[in-house]
Amino acid sequence: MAASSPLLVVENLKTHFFTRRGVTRAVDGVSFTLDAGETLALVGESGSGKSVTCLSLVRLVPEPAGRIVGGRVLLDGEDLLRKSPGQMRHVRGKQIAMVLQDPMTSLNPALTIGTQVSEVVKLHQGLRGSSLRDRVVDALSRLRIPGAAARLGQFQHQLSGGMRQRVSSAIAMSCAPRLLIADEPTTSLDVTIQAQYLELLKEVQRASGVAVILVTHDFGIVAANADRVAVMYAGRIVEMGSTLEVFDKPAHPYTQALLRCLPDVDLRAERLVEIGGQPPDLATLPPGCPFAPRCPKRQLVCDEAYPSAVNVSEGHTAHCWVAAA
Amino acid sequence: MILEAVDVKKHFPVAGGFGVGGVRGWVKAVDGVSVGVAEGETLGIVGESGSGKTTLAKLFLLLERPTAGALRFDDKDMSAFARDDRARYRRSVQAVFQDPYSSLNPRMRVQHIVAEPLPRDDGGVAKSERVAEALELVGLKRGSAGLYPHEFSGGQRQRIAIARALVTYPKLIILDEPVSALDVSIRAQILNLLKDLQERLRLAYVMISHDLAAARYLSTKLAVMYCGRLVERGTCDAVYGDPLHPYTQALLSAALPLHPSARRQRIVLSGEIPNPMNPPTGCRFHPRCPKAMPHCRTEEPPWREVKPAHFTACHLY
Repeated sequence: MAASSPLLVVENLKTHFFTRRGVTRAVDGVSFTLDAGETLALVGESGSGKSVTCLSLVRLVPEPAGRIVGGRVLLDGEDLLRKSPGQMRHVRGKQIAMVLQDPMTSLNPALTIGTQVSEVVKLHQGLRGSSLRDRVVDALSRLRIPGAAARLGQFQHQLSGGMRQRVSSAIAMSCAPRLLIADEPTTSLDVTIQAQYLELLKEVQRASGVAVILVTHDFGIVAANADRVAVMYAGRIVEMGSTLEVFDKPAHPYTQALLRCLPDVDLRAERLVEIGGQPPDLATLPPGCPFAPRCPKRQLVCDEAYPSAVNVSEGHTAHCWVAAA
Repeated sequence: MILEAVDVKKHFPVAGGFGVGGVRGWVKAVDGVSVGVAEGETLGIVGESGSGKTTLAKLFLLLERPTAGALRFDDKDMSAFARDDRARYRRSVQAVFQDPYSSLNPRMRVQHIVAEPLPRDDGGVAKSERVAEALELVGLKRGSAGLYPHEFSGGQRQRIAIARALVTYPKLIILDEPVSALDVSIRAQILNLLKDLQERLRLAYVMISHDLAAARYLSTKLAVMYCGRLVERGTCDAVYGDPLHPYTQALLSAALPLHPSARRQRIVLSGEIPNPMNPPTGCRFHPRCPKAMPHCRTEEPPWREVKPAHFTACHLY
């Protein structure tokens, strides 16, 4: 592959859930690219498909109800969707690593920290003995865990929330992955600890050149940490662009409304602008734009067909009929 | 003042292993806090987990008894409450909790959920009329009364929880993280609803929150807690505009602004929130404080009015 090609290319990814109520199109044609060292934020509300997108990238969609029904996921030009389950096991943890929301549940309470970090290193790097131990201590110290060597024999209940999230990030970063998927990594942390963690994540990223997909519903985190942002609604990316562009000139009415309806710490609003209605039911999506029923700029065409991407400016796209006009 | 706490303390005993071996120590969850809220006001209480804000809310709701200090309701000391006073208090002070998925009983119809705080001897017709009235206040249809919670979305469920709080015509509602569990596009609806209800009904709110942006939107007064103590208190605009205590400054700088170019000078605190069983000596914030001085370690800073109606406990002032 040429050096200039992106690290990750996702093309028209579709992941559907087949339930008794019908087909839920959790991810319905998601496409994006990601360069090495870059941070892309996936933002959206619950049910918008951001987590399922991430699970699809590592092929961990809960089966049999959920299935990836189409698209391509190219990591360094290789299609992950065509790999065998055995090959995928070598991708996960080694090339793509994940940090999940709640370290209380993602760490095993019955195993020591040392055991959990060494598990990954042993599997992917085949290290044993003292070199394994050194590697584990190194992985923990890189995430600024004080007294790393002494922590090896500790259990997760002996650590604070922020420390736990560092341990699970140390596990993720231990094999120098190319891509880190961080799914709401700070939702369970306090604000001052969140700030610590996000700073640390940036530092680790600068040092290792890992690409990060940051899943969040918090626009403050996006503004402070992401290079680019993709806004998801009802299983699709409705707007994507550089963080500055999207915050300055949001083109999709959903992004516009979201940015206006949030209270800001810096100024006290007299009244917040509301978005009426509810997020849609993914099993019974209308044929047109799924945001149309809540959209203040709705037109006739919005209910007829889903809009294709419009170039707002260089590298900034939106799926909206009104923005296209 | 509708509700006032004067130097309130709540200490929990920590038992030895397996409940034997007596008391090993005390968790000073709330350790000398004085706050008050008047009609039409919102007192925001912000702090991180373990700061004692939820314990304070529990004290206000009579779910816990204070270890020391006094709570006053309508200028009457609550320790001197007779049975009737207590009943009246429980009707006047209601609560809305964080997660409407767990605060509403899934087996009860909305009409029974909302009517639950009403006295049993109220007539059936009057009761259903009050329920319908409360539902309309929060923007739900009268017909919703016959449905079950699972038939509503998260935002609508929170409206049901608010209706339940309103049904007794309260003076004060304790809001414990009222929008934290809701989707971002729904938060504005609920925050606006709470603001409207406050204006229409002259309600007082105590809003417990770790979301500094939401607290700023609703609050008129703000109290910042750290490790069981109040570190700063003042009007909302004063505390946000000119935070005095280094902890408040760090907390506000850690709250992320909504625009990428609005990157501010961030104060990233090192260290962790201390264990409330064994809080640091002197100022409880000193191990993490970027401006700590030698005597912060030994002397507890006094509570001082640094600017008119703007208090803090810090040796810097």
